[in-house]
Amino acid sequence: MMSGNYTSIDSQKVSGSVPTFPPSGAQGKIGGGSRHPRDVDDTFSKPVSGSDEPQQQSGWFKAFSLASYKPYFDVDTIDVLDRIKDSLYPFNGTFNEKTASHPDLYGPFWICTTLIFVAASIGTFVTYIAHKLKDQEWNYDINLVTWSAGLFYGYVTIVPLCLYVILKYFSVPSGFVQLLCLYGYSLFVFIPALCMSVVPLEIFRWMVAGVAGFMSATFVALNLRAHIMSAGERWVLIVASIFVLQLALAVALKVCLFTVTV
Amino acid sequence: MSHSDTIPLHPSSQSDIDEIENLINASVHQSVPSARPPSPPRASIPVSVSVSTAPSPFISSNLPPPPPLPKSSVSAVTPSPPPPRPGIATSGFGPAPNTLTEPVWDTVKRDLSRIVSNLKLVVFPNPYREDPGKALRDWDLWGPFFFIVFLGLTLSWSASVKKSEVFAVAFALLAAGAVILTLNVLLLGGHIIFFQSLSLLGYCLFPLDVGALICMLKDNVIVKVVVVCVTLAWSSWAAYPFMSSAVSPRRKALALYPVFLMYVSVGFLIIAID
Repeated sequence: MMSGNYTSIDSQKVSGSVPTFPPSGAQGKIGGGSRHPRDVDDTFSKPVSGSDEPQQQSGWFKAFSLASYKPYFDVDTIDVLDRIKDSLYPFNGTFNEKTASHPDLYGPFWICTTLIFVAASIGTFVTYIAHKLKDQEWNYDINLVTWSAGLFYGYVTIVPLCLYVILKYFSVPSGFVQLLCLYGYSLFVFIPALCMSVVPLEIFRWMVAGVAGFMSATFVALNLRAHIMSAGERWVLIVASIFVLQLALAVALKVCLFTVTV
Repeated sequence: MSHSDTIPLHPSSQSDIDEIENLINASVHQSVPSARPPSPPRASIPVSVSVSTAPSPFISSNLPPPPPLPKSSVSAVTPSPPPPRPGIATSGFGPAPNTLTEPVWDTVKRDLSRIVSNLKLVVFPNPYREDPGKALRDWDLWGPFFFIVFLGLTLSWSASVKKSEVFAVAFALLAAGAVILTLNVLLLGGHIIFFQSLSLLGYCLFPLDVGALICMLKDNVIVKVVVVCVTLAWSSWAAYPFMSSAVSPRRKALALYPVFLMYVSVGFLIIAID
């Protein structure tokens, strides 16, 4: 038919052997086990850009990746509750040692957020009661939310940042995340304090603010004292300023949110 | 084509083909008896002379190359391209759907029906459903956007002063809150789709929207508190299965507490804004 197009190798005197495929040792590909090709490389074992494994990023881009913050949220419910309990016992002074190896940002962030909500809601409730007791018209002030957000988020970010710079200057550097963790948990005591401020007695409110401020300030100061003592003679000044700042926060809370003028 | 024009398959290749055929026959014989006799022996594969300079695995022929064929015969041998297959549209399935040229009303209807079907998953939630993590697979952001804007507008209408500020704070709280809650679950090591989670948290606002509407119409503090408590429980119950299934059991509370906090803060705004 088309014999001209094909060459017969039956009649040829072939020297050597014709290469065969598959190799003679091969078993059936269905029943027998298949082998990896000899030139296989690890192209497919390396993570590609779309894979689940996080890619190593360099420079500032690392700050925008979720993976770089995951270690600071690697906590369980029990861990967070234990740290909250520790913050309510300010005289132990062991919180910093416990969290040094594994500081978290979950607690500080959500404690702050809870404080913002509690401060705004309790502050509103206090003004509402004050107006109703005197039969006066009352309007909700939405600015309480924004003011309390600015106060708490600002305090828990700026104060640890300033302290971090100061400690670095005095050659006793502490981790920034560790300071954020310490300051964040130190604010937990203000949540029950704000709830107790509903009682419409000015003296009682000042007492609550004072006790909460003292507990919070003691907690931060005692946990940082051991670390700062190596800064030389200036350590007393640093610890005292930390203590005063925490007390100032308590006073600011009382004056801004719980001083009602009808 | 004579037998001398071809070479037989290598035994190992032939054995592979036979093995496949045996497997197929075995599977067929188990269920249905064969309707026709087994296929005849395989024809041998013809080997054409390579014109290219690439090295061939076969030994080169001692015979002289065949005389070149005339152009006419070559063109006659080349197979003609197959006729174009009829498209799906012309083969009985009807015209292919085109969403670009469809009427706007059809698009709106389709989006609304999707919002309603997604809303049913929230309004009538089932915490014991088989796979709560796969809720709202057909997610969209129109529903959440509508519910957030509606809640903001309802609160601003209810407010007697600073209406624009109330809307701004409510909108920012809800939009940023949904993003932060989703990021929180992701940071806790949860397996969650970002926009699916945003969608679900937005749809879960529907009960609070209803509550806000009732509270706007009924200016009674006790009624407001009762309505908000009911709608708050409803919203939290709707969000619970999805958010809890996204994280490990040891972190369930860490994922759910912020969700509850956001809904409580929205509920408080509904009660407080008078």
